[in-house]
Amino acid sequence: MTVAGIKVSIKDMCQVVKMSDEFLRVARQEIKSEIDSLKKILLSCTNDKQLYAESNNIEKHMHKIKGLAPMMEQEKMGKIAKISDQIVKHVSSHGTLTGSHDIISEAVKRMSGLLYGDLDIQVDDFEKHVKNTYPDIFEL
Amino acid sequence: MSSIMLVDDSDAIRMVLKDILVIGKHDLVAELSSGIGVLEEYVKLRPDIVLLDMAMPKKDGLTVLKEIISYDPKARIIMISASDNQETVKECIRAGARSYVLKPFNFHEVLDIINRVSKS
Repeated sequence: MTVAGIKVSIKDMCQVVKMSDEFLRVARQEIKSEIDSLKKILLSCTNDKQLYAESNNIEKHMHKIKGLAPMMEQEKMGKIAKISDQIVKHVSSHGTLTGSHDIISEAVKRMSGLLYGDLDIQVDDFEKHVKNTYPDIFEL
Repeated sequence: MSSIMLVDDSDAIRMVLKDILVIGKHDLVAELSSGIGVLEEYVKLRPDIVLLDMAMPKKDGLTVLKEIISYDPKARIIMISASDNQETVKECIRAGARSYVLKPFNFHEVLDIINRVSKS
């Protein structure tokens, strides 16, 4: 077969398929670690002002999840992280944002649920709520 | 076939990129999990291409990019990031990156970019 103009052998592809289970295991572990770090930050961060103070730190973890989650077929989690990343970036550059603490807490709760296989967790209502709350941020 | 240096703090991302390099029949000459020591490895190994993550603790990718370019202005560096911020992309290109791969990526995309950059 050919991938990006390169002839690829069955042996190469088998190696990749064999690696994919290991990839999922490692990726899941990394995402779990990022979510745990976010939970830990939120334990000592209970309002919008404190969230602003921790925004750079939160952004780093959200950024990691945003890039990695869709690659392990966790598209919903990736979408939540992408929306949250945008909010935290805004907080980081513009200052305290009313309601941001509640939204980021909800995002972390949903991502954690998704990681542990809760199939009932939805993203569309979260996205709609965030975009309605902060139309200015998501216009950009 | 190009010799590639891979720099990313995520084990999972490095794992996927190594698979991609196998498929593309490229030669992985070094693998680093942080920005620390990348320039030294680059000087020692002089790889054809560096795949460099942007967001890393201790030393970020942009700093490493600037260090390598200041040592070797012709270095072929491909940045990897989850940030689609156009200013970030422009800053990397201005600093000398040959291309920018957005996470999440796929096999085809990365191989196409590596092949294009290796021919440039």
